[in-house]
Parts: sequence; C-alpha cells; structure tokens
Amino acid sequence: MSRIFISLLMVIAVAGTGLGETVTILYTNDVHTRVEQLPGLSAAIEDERAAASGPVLLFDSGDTWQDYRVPIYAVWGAERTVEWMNTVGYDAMALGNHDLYYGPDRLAHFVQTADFPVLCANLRPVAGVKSPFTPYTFVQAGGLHVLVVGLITDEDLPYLDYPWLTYLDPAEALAAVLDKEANKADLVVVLGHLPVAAAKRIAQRVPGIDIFLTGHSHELMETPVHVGKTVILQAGAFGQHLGILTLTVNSSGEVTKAANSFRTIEKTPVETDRGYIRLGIIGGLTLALLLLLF
Amino acid sequence: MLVGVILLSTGTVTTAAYPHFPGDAGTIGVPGMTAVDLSLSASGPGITVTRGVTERIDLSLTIGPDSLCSLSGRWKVIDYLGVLTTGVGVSHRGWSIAAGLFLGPVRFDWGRRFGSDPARFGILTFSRPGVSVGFGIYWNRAPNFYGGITLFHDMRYLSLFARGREVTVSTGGLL
Repeated sequence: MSRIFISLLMVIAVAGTGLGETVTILYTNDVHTRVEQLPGLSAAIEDERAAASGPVLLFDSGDTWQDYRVPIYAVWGAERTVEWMNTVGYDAMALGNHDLYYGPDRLAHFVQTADFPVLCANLRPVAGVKSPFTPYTFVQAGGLHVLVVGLITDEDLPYLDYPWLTYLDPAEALAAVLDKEANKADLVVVLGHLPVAAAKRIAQRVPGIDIFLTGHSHELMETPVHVGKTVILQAGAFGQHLGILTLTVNSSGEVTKAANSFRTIEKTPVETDRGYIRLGIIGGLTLALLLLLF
Repeated sequence: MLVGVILLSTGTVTTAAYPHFPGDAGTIGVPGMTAVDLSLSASGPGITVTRGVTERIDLSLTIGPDSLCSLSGRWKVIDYLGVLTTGVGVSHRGWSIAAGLFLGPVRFDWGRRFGSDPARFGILTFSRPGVSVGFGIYWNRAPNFYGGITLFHDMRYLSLFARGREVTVSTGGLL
C-alpha cells in the first residue's frame, strides 16, 4: 500500500513539474510579410494545435515584417502580419535584420503592437537608451519552464540607423544568458536569426541549448542537424512551410525524442490594393524627389 | 557643410546619434539630447553642436572655417514612409530638401540646396556593425567626388572623409 502511495506521489510530482511531457513546437522564419501565406499558416497552426497531445508553442525566428527586395513588401504588410501573429498567438519571435529596416520608431511601434516578446540578446543598447526588444523570455509549456533566447546575425544589419546598439558575439551573448537563467529552465530554445552553419558553431561553443530554431538563410531542414544535444532546424522562407517539432522530455528534463516535420502552405489570394496604392504614393514621391537632382 | 546640412535632414533624423558623414554636424531627433562633432581639415578646425528639439526637429550651431558662427535647423517631413524619409533644412546658405531610401544595409541619400549657394548631391552608404562607408558625388560649382569611412564605438565615432580634394577628420558623439 505504501509503495502504491509513493508511486502515486512520484507521478503527481512529475506531473507537477511538467517533466515527462510531450511538447509540440510550431515554428516559422523569414515570412517577409507574405500575407498571401498567412491564411494557410493559420489553418495549419489550428490543425496542429487540435491534433497535439500536449502543450503547443509557436515561435518565429525573424525577418517577418519586411522585405525590401520586393517593392510592395518593402512598404506594406507589416501591420497586417503583426495583427496576424497576435491572432494566431505566437509565444515569441526573434528580431531579424529585415525587421530593423523600417527604422527605430516604427520598429518600436510594431513591438508595442505585438502581444508577444521580440527577442535579441546580442544587440545591446548603450546605457540610457531603452531598446524595444528584450534578450530572452520564459514561456510555460504545460509544466515545463522554457527559456527562449533571441539572436541575430551581423549580416546586413542597418547599423547606421541604430548606432545606439552594440553588436555582440552571439555565442558570448547566449552564454551570458544561459549562465544567468538556464538553471531556472527545463528546456532551452534559441530563436536565432542566423544561418544553420552559424548555429552549429554557436552550439559547439555553448552547450545547454536544447532546440535551435534558425533563419536568415532560407534553408528547409528536412533532416535536423544535431550538435551534442542541440537540435538545429529551419523552416525555409516566405511562409511556405510550417515547422512541427514534437519533443518528448523525460523526468530528468532531457529531450529523449525529437520528431520534426513540415507542412507545406499554399497561397491564398488576398486583397493587396491598399498596398499598391501605398507603393504608388511612395514611388511617385521618390521619383519627384529624384528630379531634384536635375 | 553642404552634405551634412542636407543629409541630416534625412535618415538619421529618427534616432541617430551620428550623422551619415560626421564632421558636418551632429545628432537629430533625440529630444533633449545633444551631439558634438569636432572636425579638422586643411581649411581649419570646426565644431558643431546639435540639439534634438523634438523627434522631428533639431537645431545646430556651427563654428568653423566656412562661417564664424552659423545656425541651422532641420525638419523631418516624411518619417519612414516605407523606405522613404524626407526632410528640409534651413541654414545661412539657403534652404535644402533631401531624401533617403533605406534599403537595409545600403542606403541612398540625395538632395538639393537652393539659395545663395546652390548645390546637389547623391550618396550611397554601406554599413556593417561598427563601420560605415559612403561615396557619391555632389555638385556645387563643379562636380566633386565624396567618399568617407566612419568607425563607431557605442555612441562615439571617428570619421575620415574626402570631398573633392579636401580631406577632413572628425570625431564626436552623443552627450
């Protein structure tokens, strides 16, 4: 009888700490305001949440709100994308270099509008300047306490418009966060807006990362990369895929099983008239201003 | 002075502690904060103090070889309409209008000054963390090449730039 009682207590204790759980992580990266992909992503996220047997987290690894290479997405779509992210309930996103391209004021506006934290641990504001983003956050997945840290690449950073930010080595910035906070977490997730190759180098230098969701390089990682215990993944780009990572976490807080798959997302026609009107206004103004030169 | 007066009407208006081409002026758009730029060229030394009055307006006082003491003001008219920023400036040389296209790591600034000392310019700037390189052309009485490099450390900078045959070294930052 006492054995049964002790076993029951252990089960309750394990359930109480969330250990021995199955957690599903849904992830995107480099959506670049492709608004035509958002309805399909919404449906896929809803399906996966309904099918999951445990808690579900939703993350994005940055470059979500802008794409200057495509004129309409350089000037329109960010507000709609932020609203969509709020609606589907993202838990956190990493700051991407494109997300900085609207300038500091609009970036601050987008971050304020977002219902989720925007993360970056390796852009440090100088003393006295308040940054719109935060280095890391904790989210709860059932009974699991998940530490989520953001990182950004140094490629294509619009540094001149953010001179109050100092770029730090991603591995050193991450190590500093883990030294301080990892002991409070059951699971460590890094949202890194940097290529898979860079993530591998960071994981080699910084043990303690469980999941490393990457971006920037637009790689669709059919097969995850393993560095030590770290699982490195990326879900392509432009909202064409939703990453689905199912983790089993044992009673010691270790990931014992990680199964990854992708759902391909089809385009849905969306209203873009206002975007083209905006693009026309900006194009006309730019042309008129260029005529100043002559 | 021309390039600085015009350029500072553009992209850096938002928050920047630095002008795109230090040596010509200081910060803009950080209300209540002041930037100082010290420069040295063959023409002589110069100092510019710039005060952010609001997020869109700043005032600069310059003492240098071009003018014993001049006051200028800038107003950011369009603030990141997509990738476009536009501003106007007024100084003792006339009034200016300038624009910037912010394309991530590359930006293009151009503009024109009207008045007693008219001029035009177009400059491309490339940036990486801690360093910025810019080059372009400006026309005053004749076309001149413009090129410069700026190294940043926190809120301070060191810059070397050439305008025509004149080379200027400058340093400064936000107070």
